[in-house]
This record gives sequence, structure tokens and C-alpha cells, in this order.
Amino acid sequence: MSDDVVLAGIDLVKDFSGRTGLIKRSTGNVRAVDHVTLELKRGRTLGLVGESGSGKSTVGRLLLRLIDVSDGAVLLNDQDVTQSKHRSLRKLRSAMQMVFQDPYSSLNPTMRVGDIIGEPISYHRGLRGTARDNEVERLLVSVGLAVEQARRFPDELSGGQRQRVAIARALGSEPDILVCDEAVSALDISIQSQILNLLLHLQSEFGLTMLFVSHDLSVVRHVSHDIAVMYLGQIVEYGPADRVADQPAHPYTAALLSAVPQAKPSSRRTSEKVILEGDPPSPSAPPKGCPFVSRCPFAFEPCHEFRPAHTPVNGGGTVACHLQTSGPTLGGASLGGAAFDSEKSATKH
Amino acid sequence: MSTQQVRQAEAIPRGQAPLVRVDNFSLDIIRSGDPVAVLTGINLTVHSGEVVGLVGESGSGKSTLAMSMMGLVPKRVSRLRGGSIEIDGFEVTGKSTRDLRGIRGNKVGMIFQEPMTSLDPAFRVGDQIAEVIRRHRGGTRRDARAEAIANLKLVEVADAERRADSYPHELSGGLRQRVCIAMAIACRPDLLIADEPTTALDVTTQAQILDLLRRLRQDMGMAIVLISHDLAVIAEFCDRVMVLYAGQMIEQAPVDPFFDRPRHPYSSALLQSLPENQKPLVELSVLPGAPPQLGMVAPGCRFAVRCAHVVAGRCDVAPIQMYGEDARQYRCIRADELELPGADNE
Ligand SMILES: Nc1ncnc2c1ncn2[C@@H]1O[C@H](COP(=O)(O)OP(=O)(O)OP(=O)(O)O)[C@@H](O)[C@H]1O
Ligand SMILES: Nc1ncnc2c1ncn2[C@@H]1O[C@H](COP(=O)(O)OP(=O)(O)OP(=O)(O)O)[C@@H](O)[C@H]1O
Ligand SMILES: [Mg+2]
Ligand SMILES: [Mg+2]
Repeated sequence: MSDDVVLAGIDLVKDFSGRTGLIKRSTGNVRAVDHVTLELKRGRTLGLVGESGSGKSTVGRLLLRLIDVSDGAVLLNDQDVTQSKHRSLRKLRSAMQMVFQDPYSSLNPTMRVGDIIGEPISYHRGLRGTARDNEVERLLVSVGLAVEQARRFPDELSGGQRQRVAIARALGSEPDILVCDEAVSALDISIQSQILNLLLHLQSEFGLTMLFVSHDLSVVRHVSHDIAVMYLGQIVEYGPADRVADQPAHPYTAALLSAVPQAKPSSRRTSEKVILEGDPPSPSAPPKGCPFVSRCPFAFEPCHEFRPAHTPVNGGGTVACHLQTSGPTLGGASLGGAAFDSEKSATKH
Repeated sequence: MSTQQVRQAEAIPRGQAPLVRVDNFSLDIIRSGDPVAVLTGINLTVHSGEVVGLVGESGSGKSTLAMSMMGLVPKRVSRLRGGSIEIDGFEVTGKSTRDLRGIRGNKVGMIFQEPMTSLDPAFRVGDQIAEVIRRHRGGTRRDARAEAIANLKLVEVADAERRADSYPHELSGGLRQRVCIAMAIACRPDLLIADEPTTALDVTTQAQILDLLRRLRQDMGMAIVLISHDLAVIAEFCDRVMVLYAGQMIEQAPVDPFFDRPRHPYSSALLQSLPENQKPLVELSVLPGAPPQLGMVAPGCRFAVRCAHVVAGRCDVAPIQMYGEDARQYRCIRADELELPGADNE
């Protein structure tokens, strides 16, 4: 493993048991994460995109050891931390922070904003009194909140303000690694830009390493060096951000890109959308072959039978798609990439 | 895969009484014992079948306005300063929870910004939707459950029967959001208020949900007030857009002219900061400064301190009125002198 990898998940698997609640109705096992391998490199950002329910948040929680893996390993600076227990985890946690998707449930409603942000500052950095308060103020301002808001309780804030409190709290312990789970999704553009700039700044200044989970491809593309695309618990495509966004190699990535809404009137008037049809398969009964087979317009026999392996893509990264390996070819070259160019015109009937 | 015309310009039924009429509505929030203004002089009408987008910076009052329309702002922390909100002729302000029961669910459905606000962590989601249906329509438990599942399918929840038996914490963020959408439309309301309904959803699911809302609007004439910080969603989905700034409406316009040629400098600044207009991995151009804090608004234009076009002595002396005609209004004294760039101008 190259030495600039700070945090890695090797062949991660997470099963959630379907038996829940007091009356144990069996609802089948859910494999939320299905053999996922990914690496976070120092000072770089990996963007994680994918279908809702594909396992993005679960991957983030596995990497930070907030939940236990069912299989696979988590390596922090080449050290296996998969089995680490409470005490050593506490040390790890100061190096790693996560901004959770739903700020409403991740902020303690009985604490004032100043204490919510101040807590990890004292806990991880030992600052108290005025030093702590000054740091709280600095963080509030850096996420675009007013100093006065330190006195508020979470339910006195707007949704976006709460989201920013969660970000300020995560940054307070000066983490080396930050997992942002839809951290800016509820923010309007000007605040969003301010926070993305703050993160980019922390990265260039202190080498912050980030996993950036978001459904918003334009944001992911803006902040990420590399992008991984998930579908039904698996990574289906991975590579440099530009390559993935400009020349998607997986049909699902292509569909994701075409569904990005356009604000510019010029692009709107000309763009037609590819809306994926059909249900995503149930995670408790995933298809035998490729996870995307039930909705893929290019599916052919092997896709129903075998799970595609990751193969290198021109321009960097890998893709798990049979089109790339055994699909139709033209003069020996795969039609995988070419298919998407014609797809746009093909679907405009 | 199917293609889909991105926007159909449907005719908006004019001439009939509006479904929603917000008239000069002003609301204070009580903070540490003192009332501070969150919303000032809001005017807004929504007709049946119309989709109105509400945009504005974080903290500008969008959710508060939405909750006011449902009569959901707690009396304990708020005070009506003036104005009214009528939904289908029914005055909402000053009403008790009991009075409002008749309109919630049937007339107005709401999707809340944070899914966990409307879900009870202790109950299975299918039962929660079924409960809403039974409360409004009666009927047997079994029918309500079947309908709950049908609604989950409608919002593209795969494996709806099994998901209905899940508790909220067992669902991904996007699934939770779709459960809330299913709950809000379960009684097929005339008006749907959707506060950031697709924020946590990937774009393909987002496209499916917006498509579904479009169908509901077409088939049942459901009107929609869509709150979103995502201007692209507003552009593709709405007929009209309203911009809130520091608790005031500062511009309202049909969607296309708004994106082509905004009339308020704040709107223009918003459109300039779209990620589509920016280069990757370099700092985004941002609107400098922050909106005024609650209760600390300047005497003149509330945007003046951040505005690139501000003229001292003109913009910052007295409150600015709305200019323009009915369909297109803007709160900028200099609007007619300015040529402001829209979404397309870099
Ligand atoms: N219960 C309350 N007590 C005190 N202040 C409140 C309360 N509810 C809302 N506010 C304040 O009112 C203002 C408007 O809040 P609102 O939730 O309407 O904003 P918003 O436009 O929806 O923002 P966002 O995009 O971040 O969700 C905010 O500054 C918020 O802090
Ligand atoms: N505690 C849990 N118990 C049971 N199932 C769970 C639990 N947590 C997650 N799941 C399931 O695991 C799958 C992946 O969930 P996850 O939250 O990781 O998705 P996600 O990619 O983050 O989706 P979203 O974009 O909607 O947030 C989903 O099917 C979800 O319902
Ligand atoms: Mg998630
Ligand atoms: Mg809000």
C-alpha cells in the first residue's frame, strides 16, 4: 500500500439483520455494503456518490468505526483498527470526524450551540474557559453563523444553521480525516460555497483528508480529486473526478450525470433527461449478476449471470461492467464508452 | 429508460380564486423574551395546479413561512404581527390545532426539511403512514396498510412491503425522506408544501420524485410550494419563483425570465454562484458578507451592505417598496438602471 494512504477500507461487508424491534418479524438480511474497497489519500478528497440506499453512509460509518464490520478490514495509517475497542477508539476518533446526514438527530437538543461545538474542543484539545469560547466563536464565524447563536438551542435554528453547527463541531477537534455525509446538501449556494471554500482551505493548509458523500454531482466534482460511484452496496466505478464526470464508463454513472438538473436556461432547453425506469432491486434479494442489471439499457447475457470484476478504464480508475470486458466490440475496442454517446440520441425518441 | 420532456409549460388557471392567499403577513419570534421579526409583509398567492418555488439564504425564513401556512409555528415562541394566510378561503392564523385538523393532511400536506422531525423513531414507518390515512379517512387497519404500501411504491421505495416494517433508523436518509413524501401525499392534498424534499436524494431518485410530483399536479391539480436551495431544481420544476431575503420577499417572477434576467442584485448574485459557472477545486466565488441577524435589519434595503450596486443615500435610507407589475416584482430602487447578469452570463 502506498504510504500516502491514511485510511483504507479493505473488502468491507456490512449486513444488517432483518430482525428488529420487540416483535421479531423476520424481514430478511440486508447487505448494505458488499465487498467495498477504498482508500483515502492524505490531503485529498474522495467523492462518494450513488443511489439512495446504496450504502454510502454505512461506508462512512464503517471507516470511522462507528459501527462494526461484518467482514473486511479498516486500516488507519497501515495499522489494522478493525478490532480496536473503546480506549484506542477514542484516540482514533480525535483524528477522524464525521458530519452526519441528519443534523436534527445528531445534535443534542438540550445543549446550547456553544456547548455542542465546545465539547469536542475541550475533550480532544484540552481548551477551557476563554480559550474554548474564543475557539467556539471562531468556528461559528467560519461556517457563517453569528457569535450570538452560541446561546441558542438546536430547535431555535433553521435547518441550514443546524447543519453548519454540525460542521463546526466536527472541525473543532481539528481532525486529520473528515467524513462529510451530505454535509452541505441543505445549504443554499452562497453558504455552501463558503463552507466548501473553508474545507478546500483546510485541505491546502493542513492536508485535511476527506470522504465527501453527496448526491450532488456538481458539488462532488467541485471538491473531489477522485470519485467512487456506489450502487446497491457495491462500488461500480472509480477514478479521477474529471474522467468519471466527463467520460463515465458505467451505465449507472452515465444515468446519474444525465439526471443532474440544469439551472442555465440554455442547457435546460436543449437537455432531455434519462430517467431510470424500474425499481432498484431489493438489497435483501440482490440480483445474481451485475447489481445494475435490472435497470441497465445495455444488459446482455453475462450481466444476469456473473458479477463483473473491476477493470481499468482509459483515462484512469476502474469500472465493474461487462460491457468493458466482454461486451460488443468494434475493431477490437469496447463499445462501452461509445455506447453512452449514442445513448443520448438513441433515447430521444 | 424513457425520455421525458424536461418542462411542460402548463396553463395556470387564472381568474379563479387562489388556493393560497398570504396577505401582508408578518411574524415575530420570541427570543429570550423579546419579539424579533422573522417575516415582514409577505404577499403570496398560489393557484390550484401551480408550482411556486421559494428560495433564499439559510435563515431567511422559508421554513417559518411554510410552517405558518400549516399553522405549525408554536404559539409559545411566536407572535403574529399582522396580515393573514388563507387556504381555500379558510383563515389559518390564530387557529388552534383542533381547528386546523380539518385542513392538515386533506387540504395541505407538508414534507418537512428534516425527515426525522415528522417520523416517530418508535414506530414502523408503514404503521405511521397508515395512521395518517386512518385519521383522515377511517377504514380498516388492513386497508390503510395496503394503501400505505401503495404510497411507498408510488415514491419508488423498492421492496415496499418489507420496508413498511422498518423503523426509521433502519432506513437510509433518502428512504426516510421518501417515507415522509409518501405520508404527505397519502391523503392527496390540494396543496403540498415541500421543504427541501429532494435534498438528500441522489439525482436519479430526485428526478423520479419530481416526476411523480409533476404527475400528481397534472392528474389531480395539486398545487405545490417547493422550498429548495437548489436553483436548478427550481428552474426545472417551478412555474414561478419567489426570493426571500432576511424575512422579506425581494423578487418574484415566472421562472424563465427570472433565470434569464433577474431584477434584484441578490437574485443575480445567487445565479452567478451556481457551481455550473465555476471551475473545479478552486475557490468558489461567493457573495461576500452575511445576511443581517434577526431583528438587526438596516433602515433601507436589507441587502444594501452586501450589494455591489449600492448607492449611499438612496438605497440605505428608507424601506424599499416592491416595484414592477403583478407577475414580476422586485424590491430594488435601482432595478430599472441595472442590467444584471442571469444564469447564463459568466
Ligand atoms: N423557535 C425559534 N426560536 C428562535 N428563533 C427561531 C425559531 N425558529 C426559527 N428561528 C429563526 O428564524 C430564522 C428563520 O428560520 P427558518 O427556519 O424559517 O429559515 P430557512 O429559510 O428555512 O433556513 P434554512 O434554509 O437554513 O432551512 C432563523 O434565523 C432561525 O434561527
Ligand atoms: N441500522 C440499520 N438497520 C437495518 N438496515 C439498515 C440500517 N442502517 C442502514 N440500513 C440499510 O442499509 C442500506 C444502506 O443504507 P445507507 O444509509 O448506507 O444508504 P445511503 O447510500 O447513505 O443512502 P442515502 O443516500 O439515502 O442516505 C439501506 O437499505 C438501509 O435501509
Ligand atoms: Mg446516507
Ligand atoms: Mg428551512
